[in-house]
Amino acid sequence: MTIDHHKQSFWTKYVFSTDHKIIGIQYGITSLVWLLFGFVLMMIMRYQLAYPESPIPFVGGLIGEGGILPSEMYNSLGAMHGTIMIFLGVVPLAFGAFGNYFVPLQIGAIDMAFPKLNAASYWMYFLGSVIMGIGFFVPGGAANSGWTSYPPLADIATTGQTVWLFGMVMLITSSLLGSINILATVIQLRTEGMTWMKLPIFVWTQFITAFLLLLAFPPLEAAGVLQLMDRLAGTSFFMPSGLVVSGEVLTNAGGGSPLLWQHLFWFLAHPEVYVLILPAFGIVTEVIANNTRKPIQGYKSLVYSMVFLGFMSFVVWAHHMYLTGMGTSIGAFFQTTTMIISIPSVVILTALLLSLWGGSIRFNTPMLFALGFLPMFGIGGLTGLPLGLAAADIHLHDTYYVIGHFHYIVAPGTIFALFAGIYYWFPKMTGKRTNEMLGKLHFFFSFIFMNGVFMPMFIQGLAGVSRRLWDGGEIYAHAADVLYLNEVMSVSAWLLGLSQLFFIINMIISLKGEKTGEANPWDATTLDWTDTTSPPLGHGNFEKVPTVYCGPYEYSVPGSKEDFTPQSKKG
Amino acid sequence: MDIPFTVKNRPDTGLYNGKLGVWLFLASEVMLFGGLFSAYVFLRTGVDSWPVGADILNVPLATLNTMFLITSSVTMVMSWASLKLNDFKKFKLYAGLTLLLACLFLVVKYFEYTAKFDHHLFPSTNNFLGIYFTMTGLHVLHVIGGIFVIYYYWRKFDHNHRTLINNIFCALFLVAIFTNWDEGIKGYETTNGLISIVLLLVALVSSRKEQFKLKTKYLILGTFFVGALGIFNFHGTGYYLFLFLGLLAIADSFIFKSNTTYESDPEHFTNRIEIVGLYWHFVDLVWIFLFPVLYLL
Repeated sequence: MTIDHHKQSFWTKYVFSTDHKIIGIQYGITSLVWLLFGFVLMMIMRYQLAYPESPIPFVGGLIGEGGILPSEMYNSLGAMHGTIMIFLGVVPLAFGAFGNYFVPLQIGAIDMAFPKLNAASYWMYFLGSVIMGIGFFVPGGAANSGWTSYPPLADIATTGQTVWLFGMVMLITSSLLGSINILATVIQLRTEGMTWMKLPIFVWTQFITAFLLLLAFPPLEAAGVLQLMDRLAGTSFFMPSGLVVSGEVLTNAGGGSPLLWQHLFWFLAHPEVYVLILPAFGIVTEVIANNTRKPIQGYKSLVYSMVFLGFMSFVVWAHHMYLTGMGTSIGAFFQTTTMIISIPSVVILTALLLSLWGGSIRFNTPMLFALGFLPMFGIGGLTGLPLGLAAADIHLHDTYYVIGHFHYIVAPGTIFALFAGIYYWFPKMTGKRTNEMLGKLHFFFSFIFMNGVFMPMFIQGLAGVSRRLWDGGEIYAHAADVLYLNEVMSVSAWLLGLSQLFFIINMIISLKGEKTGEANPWDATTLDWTDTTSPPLGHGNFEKVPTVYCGPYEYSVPGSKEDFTPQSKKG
Repeated sequence: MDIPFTVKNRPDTGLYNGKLGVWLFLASEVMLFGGLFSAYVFLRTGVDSWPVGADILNVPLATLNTMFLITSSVTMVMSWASLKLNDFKKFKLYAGLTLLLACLFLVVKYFEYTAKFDHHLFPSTNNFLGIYFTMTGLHVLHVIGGIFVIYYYWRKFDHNHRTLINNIFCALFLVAIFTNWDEGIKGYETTNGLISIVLLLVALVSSRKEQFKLKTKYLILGTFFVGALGIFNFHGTGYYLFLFLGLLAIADSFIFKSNTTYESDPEHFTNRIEIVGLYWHFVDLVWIFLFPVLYLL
């Protein structure tokens, strides 16, 4: 396909564009809006948890009678919070936005392999997200069976669940197109000299993420089709015989199994965890290498660990299902694989920590977020180990401990890494600089309040407080001792929300600022910084497609004049 | 600047972009159908009794369908080979045959499905029928998708050909209107039907004669809208046939732009047919798994 340079109208240039950079920004803006929306849902829920059954300020009028959050709606908000954060927020931002924008730039490609598919992928995502949003307006409200949509509950739930399933089918199609595109781009369009072991880690993580999306999502699509059949055509794939609902025996044929859904769902959703975390590793690696001014520790072990992580993520899914009554031998198998998969994660984290050793670290905003990521991901990962062992999981399953665990990985983990990425690449995308002061305020306040939200969850969970409780555990005697933490977490959550104002204001101020004209303000080595202008040329990215001679992290090479050697530098 | 390797192979992978893309797509399709086959195994092993497929389903018809699909795979690969030999006429012949066989498959499938419904066998009857309808239904969607893509590359070329296609659609459209008529067009709708017919006849004539300068596609669109107003009154099969054919005709004249790849870049066109072929063989292969699993085991 030929890329033309003639003038384009606003619509073809910014809306129906096939340029990977514009599509990346479209993904980025849409997903940031959804992230904020998903967070607002949670802030509403946290009011109900902190002060059960009291009217909610500001948004109470939207919610219903007296401004008190009804329990049905609490379920809806919980389900949609999970769905929105994962499928409409973090994945599109980490994979859609960053992947689209920077993978072609870092491998020296002038665009993605299939630009039209790329645009189709974004618009599918957009459509899917609109469908998800429509769910809030159907009778009975949005999907309310949790983001996991476990049947039989989800099979008999209100219309919102059907809308959710249609939305998911669109999102799955979108991620399918996106992942094919990234894979084909990395395999086919690496520029001359860009061998596999010269790829920046960021590209590796996107590549493995794409594989996970490509192969893990279709079983969920299959499950979604089966659930749609259950809901619309009256089949009983997930409905056991003789199910009694509200005192009446259901008339469907029966003979199905709710466990079937769980298997198909977690076959996606466990690799999905790595879809959430791998791009974060990639961004953090780039930022750490750049700001320690030294090569990343153990490039090859990082790559091999990530590839191994990708493979292993397909054989651990049933550790989400220890309490389904599965046999001990199957349980033992999945415990073993779960313990094994923690090894590459530890290798990655260790390599990143060791990379700090002896570096002359620049503590700028992206670096702060990247450094914040390391311990937060560490806490999230280590608290996962007890959940991976069936004996401990029996106690901890479905408690707030689980919520604390995965939020530590995704919220202060991945989202911090994404912020690091935004601050790091903002100069490349706009040609302008962000405000360091506001950025640092954003980091420190976010860091404190993130921990304020999620640390108490471990305490509550260990005390046995279940997740998905509308009243926050008020009626349970065993929760009485830790109930005060609800208010601590809620206040932290709202303050965390306020801290994001620093980010929003920073973005607005910086976008209005002057262009600095610097192509490579961080003195980085990768092609996106060294061989393009800021922002990169509209079509084609490079004035001259670069040839690669050096590895991705050649910082402080002894004997060279500067402390960084661009990948495209000969010799 | 051009995106590299859209037509030529990349030396170290030996693939052009599209071919790699379609293989990746097929990998995900394997996971999709793999998920469904696993669901089938899971459901079947989870219950005490499971019907024998041959007792419920029509094995001879399915065998016939298997023949249709396997033959269509052969004609598909022949159409690609003809392009490799620069024989465009043969390509049209074989691709046309593939389309025909694919449509025959759908026709047989239609009779199979309706026979089940006539005997009150629905997806909700039991899980065997449920998984049968789900899996074959999803496969049928893949066949329909394939038909659209093959048709896209098969149609077009010179003006006469285009006119022919347009006229076929107009004729089918007319048939649909008359079928509809039988189901009771009265009063206001008579005017509606008459306007549709007049519009279509003008479309027929205008597509034949260049000097009329009338855009056939807008006439087809007009016919559809005038006819579609009847949606408030009719719900018969004929009416749905009308809507379906109308949408096809509109899709044909509006969405599908004439494909000129063969004239400008024959190798690119050949590659695309190869990609379509790979997809088509996959659709065939899925059926070859579905047939024994659902009908025989």
